[in-house]
Amino acid sequence: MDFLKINNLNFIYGTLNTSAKKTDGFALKDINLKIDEGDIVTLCGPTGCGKSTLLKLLKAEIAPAGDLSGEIIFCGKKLSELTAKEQSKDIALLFQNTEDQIVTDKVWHELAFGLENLGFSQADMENRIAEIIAFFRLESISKSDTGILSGGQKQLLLLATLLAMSPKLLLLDEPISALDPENAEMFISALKRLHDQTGITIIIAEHKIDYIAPISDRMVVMDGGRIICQDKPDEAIKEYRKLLPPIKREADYPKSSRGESRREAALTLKNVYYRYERNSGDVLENLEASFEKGKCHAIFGCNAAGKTTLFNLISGFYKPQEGKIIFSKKKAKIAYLPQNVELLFTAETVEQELANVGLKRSDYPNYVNRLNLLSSPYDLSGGEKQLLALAKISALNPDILLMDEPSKGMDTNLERILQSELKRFTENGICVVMSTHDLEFAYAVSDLCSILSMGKLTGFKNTEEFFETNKLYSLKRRP
Amino acid sequence: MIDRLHPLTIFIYFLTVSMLPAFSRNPILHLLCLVTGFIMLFTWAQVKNILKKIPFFLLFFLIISLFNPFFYHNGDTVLFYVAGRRFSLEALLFGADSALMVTGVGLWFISLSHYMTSEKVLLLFGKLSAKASTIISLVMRIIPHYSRYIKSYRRHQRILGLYGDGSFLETVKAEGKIFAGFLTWSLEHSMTTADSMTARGYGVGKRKSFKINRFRKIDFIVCFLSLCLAVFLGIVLGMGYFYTDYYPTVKMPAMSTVPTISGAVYITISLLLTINHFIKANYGFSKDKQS
Repeated sequence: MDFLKINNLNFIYGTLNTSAKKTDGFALKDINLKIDEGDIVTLCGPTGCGKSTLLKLLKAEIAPAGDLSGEIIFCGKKLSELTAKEQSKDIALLFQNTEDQIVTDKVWHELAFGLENLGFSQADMENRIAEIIAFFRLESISKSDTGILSGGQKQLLLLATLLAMSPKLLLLDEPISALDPENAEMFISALKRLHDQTGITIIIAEHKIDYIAPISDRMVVMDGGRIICQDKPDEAIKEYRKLLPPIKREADYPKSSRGESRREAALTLKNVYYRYERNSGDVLENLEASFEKGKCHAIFGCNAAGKTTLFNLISGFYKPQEGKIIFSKKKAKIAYLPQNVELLFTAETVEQELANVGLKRSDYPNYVNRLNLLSSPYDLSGGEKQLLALAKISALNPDILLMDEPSKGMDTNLERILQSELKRFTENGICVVMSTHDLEFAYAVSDLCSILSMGKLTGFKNTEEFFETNKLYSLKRRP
Repeated sequence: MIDRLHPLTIFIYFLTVSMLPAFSRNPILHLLCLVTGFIMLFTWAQVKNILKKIPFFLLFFLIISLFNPFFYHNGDTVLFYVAGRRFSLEALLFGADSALMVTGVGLWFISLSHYMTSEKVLLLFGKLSAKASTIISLVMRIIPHYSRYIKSYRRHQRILGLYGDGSFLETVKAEGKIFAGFLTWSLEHSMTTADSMTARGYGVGKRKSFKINRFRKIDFIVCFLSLCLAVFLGIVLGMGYFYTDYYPTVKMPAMSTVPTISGAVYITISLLLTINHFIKANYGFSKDKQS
């Protein structure tokens, strides 16, 4: 008996959907897939290829509305014939948006939530929760408020809550795309440990395949709603790279800073100090930096190093408690792309959103074509939201552009769009400052790099030099 | 220790001890309530912080005391006239007594809100309805999350130029848009929350609440004593031993046996948890730090 078998699955969304445009309405077409018990299978492909849709269809209670043909057989039974209780117990789904999935205010209560729903006895709940807390090493946060956890902790907590219900099949929708490398590694290692211990079957939809491929048994590459390849990770990655070639640094960037024309600072920070509470430590401590006109600056640093704090100071949300921020141009216009780009949305459709910043249809940047103008900004995928936000802030014609994790949720095709936009910005003399964890992306697009650590920025170095001289901040060798 | 008690116990005890004196107009009962409520603060707050709050409570006390004589002009002993209206001693005393009562109840409620953490509230309501407890928990989580979001939403929209030139009209318009935008955002995201709840089996069967506190012997004892106090003091008050009147002249009960005993009983029970707390809090603790 096969564990999970999908036969000739076709699916059309009931409502208008952006991803369906190029596939004659089909979000999924002729999907045939067989998954053995205990396998880890990765679904990958460009944004809108249907991987998330496929995952959601495997979880019947929350499956999207639309026309479905073909059949899904889970443990010998049609998926639609499973009772509601069986479905919630046996199949667990981790959604894309971490923050919204947390229901309760305390970590222990979140862990208990699913068990409470299924009506477990007090003794059973205690036992399972204790076990899960030990396995996922959540002891120190077990009584905390869920609101104070970091993104990585939240993601791990959600995985733990699903596991508390001991499902047979675990579905993960882009579990690490929003995490920084440190947390992504933590999550992957927890997943690996879990799989080694329990032999649970896992299906992951993800485009950060560098992390996932090493633990996958099989990879399924999708494009335009179809499966184009399913194979061992080593082979499948080749197909994936054909579809989404890695982003490259363009040749015409200067190789070194020597012999370059005179630099012109757009923004200078002098001895800046900032702390959040009177008795807490300084987040930024005697920070000195100068950001140049027409250059793209990349700032690295681990979580809580103060990158977002720095942006909030430059943008004027906070005032430096000591020191000065000097703009070379009086009334310099600042634009800020926050980590959560939804903060920039106010309208009901993409079109209105662009009209709000004074963009007419004729002025739209090219990449706006990829977006469905009539769709709600919230219905776009992560990378598409990023594009819309980019269009909004570039319409402001800023002098200084702050970008917090601009490549978040983007596949390499979208990253290339961002790359060419960044190039256009710097050529127009805009000073771009971005914070990022994505070294490949930063290498491809930036002119100058620096690390924020212990409240200070290390001196900006030319990107090529930075990646040559640094041993740890260097590009990963791809398989 | 008080924070180890069951929420139901805490709820019953605090309500009985703080609310019972409010059924009379007797200043002595109100004073006892205030003093014991004040001492209760020391079980959890730092002395420094309590002392800092004293001026605030005095001011609060004064305002309520003076409120009455300015608006009520009964009472035989006229102290002076304000804008042609009588300012009587009796009205002042009645005001002072009300202030005593309100401040006393207030002090007890400050401690109550400290000890009734969201978890305890949840547990209390979880007993009544598992659904209610889920909703409370959801709300407790959502409120700080939403307030953080709105704050940065405003900031980012300001940069995008939503507030225009910052004039009053523009600000009002912008705030309307902020509100609408926030509403859309919260609705969109609550869909995921709802999906996440469904996916984890919310509503598939009879729901049970996971409890992390249990009712112990001490909970029974404290609840029982609270109940005894309520019945005893209820009878004593009902029989008029504490009958006090302010108009037209002040009438106070004589200090006979029954009121004296009742006062002693009230003090004993209202200091019970405080004393227990200080005994428990001062022994049995290791000097080691948890490694």
